[in-house]
Amino acid sequence: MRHLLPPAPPEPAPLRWLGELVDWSIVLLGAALVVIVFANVVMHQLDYDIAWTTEFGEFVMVWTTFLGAAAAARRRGHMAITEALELAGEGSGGRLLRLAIDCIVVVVLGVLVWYGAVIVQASWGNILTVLDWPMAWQYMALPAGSAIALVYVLRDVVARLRGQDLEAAVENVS
Amino acid sequence: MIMVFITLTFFALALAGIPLVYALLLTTFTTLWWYGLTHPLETILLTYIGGVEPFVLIAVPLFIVGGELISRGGVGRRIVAFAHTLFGFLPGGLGVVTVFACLLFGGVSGSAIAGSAAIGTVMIPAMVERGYSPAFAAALVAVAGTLAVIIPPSIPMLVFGFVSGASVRDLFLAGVVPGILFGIGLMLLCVRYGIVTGCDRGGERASMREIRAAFVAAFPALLMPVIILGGIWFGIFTPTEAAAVAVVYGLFISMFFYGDIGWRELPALVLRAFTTSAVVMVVIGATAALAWVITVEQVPLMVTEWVREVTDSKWMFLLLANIAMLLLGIFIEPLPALILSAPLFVPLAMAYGVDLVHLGLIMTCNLAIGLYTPPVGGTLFVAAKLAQVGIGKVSYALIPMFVVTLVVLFAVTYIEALPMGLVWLLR
Repeated sequence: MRHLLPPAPPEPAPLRWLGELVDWSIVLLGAALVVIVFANVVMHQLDYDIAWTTEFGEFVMVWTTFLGAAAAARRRGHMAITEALELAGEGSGGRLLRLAIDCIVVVVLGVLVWYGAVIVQASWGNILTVLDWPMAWQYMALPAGSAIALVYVLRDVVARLRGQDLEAAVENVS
Repeated sequence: MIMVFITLTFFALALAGIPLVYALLLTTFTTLWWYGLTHPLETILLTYIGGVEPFVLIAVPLFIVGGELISRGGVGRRIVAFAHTLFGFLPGGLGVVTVFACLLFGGVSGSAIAGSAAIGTVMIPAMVERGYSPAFAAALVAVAGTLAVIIPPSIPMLVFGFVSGASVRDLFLAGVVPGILFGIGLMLLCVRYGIVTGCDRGGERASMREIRAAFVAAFPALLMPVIILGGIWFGIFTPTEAAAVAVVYGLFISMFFYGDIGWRELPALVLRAFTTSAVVMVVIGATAALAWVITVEQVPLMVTEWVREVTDSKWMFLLLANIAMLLLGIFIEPLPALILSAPLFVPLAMAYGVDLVHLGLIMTCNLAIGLYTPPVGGTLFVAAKLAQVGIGKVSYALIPMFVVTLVVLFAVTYIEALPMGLVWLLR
C-alpha cells in the first residue's frame, strides 16, 4: 500500500508505520468529507437537509488539519521563510541554525501537547449539539496531532545531532 | 508598543526560518509572558483550534482536490489546443494562446502554481521552438499563471473571505473583470512581441470545423467553471458545497470521461491536497490565536488611529496599502501574506469606507504579483525551471509585463466599478 502514498524521508520502521497510519487516516477522513458534503448538496435538491453535516464536517476538518500538520512535519513541509537558511548554507553555522529551529519547535509542540491535554480533560462534559459527542473528541486532535508532529521533529533533532544532513521540504503550497 | 514588540518578535523568529505556524504561536506565548498578561493559555489554544474549524474552510482542501483532479493529465493540453484554434493566427499567436489558456485554466483551478505548471509544460517548449526567447516564454508563463488566483475560483480569495468576513461569492465575482483585463494586457504585449521580433507572425486561421472539434474535446473541462460559479452565483449551493461538487465532477471527468487518472493515484492526490491545506490552516489558526491577543489589547484600534493621522484620504490609503502589499508579496508567498496582513488591513479599510470585497481583490492581485517578483516566487521558479533559464534573464524579460500589470492594478484599484460592477449588478 506504501507505493500509493507520496514519499517520506527515510526513518525507522515504527515511525514509518505511524506515518502511514496518519496518512491513511487523512485519506479516509478526506474522502468522507467529500461524500458527506456532496450528499448534502443532493439532499438539498430534494428539500432535505442532513442536520449533522456541519458539525461532522467541522469535526473532520479539525482532525484532518492537525493530522495533516503532523504529516507535513514528517515531510518537513511546513511553510517557512527559507532565505536565512539558504544564506547560512551547509556549513556548521547553517547546521547549528537548523538544529536550533528544530529545538524551538520541540518546545512549542510540547506546550501544545500539554495544554491541549488540559483542554481535552476539561471538555468531556461539553456535548456537540446534534452529534451528541463530547467536545473532548474534537479537541483531542490538537494534542494528538501535535504529539505525532513532535515525534517527527525529534527524529530530525536526533538525525542532526548525529551529523546527518537532512533534505529540505518535500512539498510546497499555493 | 505592544504592536512593535509583536512585529519584531514575529519577524525575528520567522526570518530565522522557524516555520510560520510555530513562529506565530511562539510570538503569542512570548507576548503574554513579556507583558505579564493573564489570559489563560487554554483560551488562546481554543482560539487556535477554533481558527481551523469553520465549515467554510472545508472548501480549501476540496477545491485543491478538484483542481488537481482536473489539471492532472490532459486537460491543460486540450485547453491549449482549443485556445490555439481561436488565436493561433495572430502575430505573437503562441503567446496569446498561452495567456488565453491560463485564463481558461484559472476557471478550473484556484492555484497559480498549478496553472503555470499545466500550461507552461505545453506552451514553453512550443514557444521556444517557434523562436521566442526562453526568457520571454518563462516570464509570460510566470505572469499568466497567476491569473488562476484572480479568476474564480480562487484559493486566496476563499481564505480572505474567511478571515475578513467578506462574501466569497462577491469576491469571486469581483475577480472576473480584473482577470480578463490582466489577460488582455498580456495578450497585447505578446502581439507586439510577435511583430517586433518577427519570430511569430501567426499561423493559419483555423476553420470552423477545427474550432468546433477542439471545443468539443475541451468542453467537459470548460464546463466545470460554469457549473461551480453558476451554482454559487445563482445560490444553488454555497462555496463549500461547490467545492465538493467540483471534486465529484473532476473525478467523473478525469477518471471516466478522459481516463487520465486511475484509482491508484487517488490516495496520494487526496493526501497531498489535505496536507497542503492543513499547512495553510494551522497558520490561519495560529494567526487567529495571535489576533485574539492583539484584539483584546486593542491594537488594531491604535494602528487605525495612527494611519488615519497620516492620511484622511481613501485613495491615499489604497496607494499605501498597494505599496505595503507589493513589498510584503516580494518576501512572503501569497497565502501566508494574506493571512498575516488581513487582520490589520480589514479594520483600516472599514475605517476608510473601502468595500471589503474590493480590498480582497486588490490584496489578491498584489500578492499574485509577488508570485513572480524576483528573486523568489512560486510561479517564477516553476516557469524558469520549465524553460531552463536563469532567474536573472527572466527578470529582464519581466519588465514590460510588470508595466502592464501595474497599469491594470492601478486601474482596478482606482476605478472601483471595474472589479465591483458585476458585484453591484448581482448583489
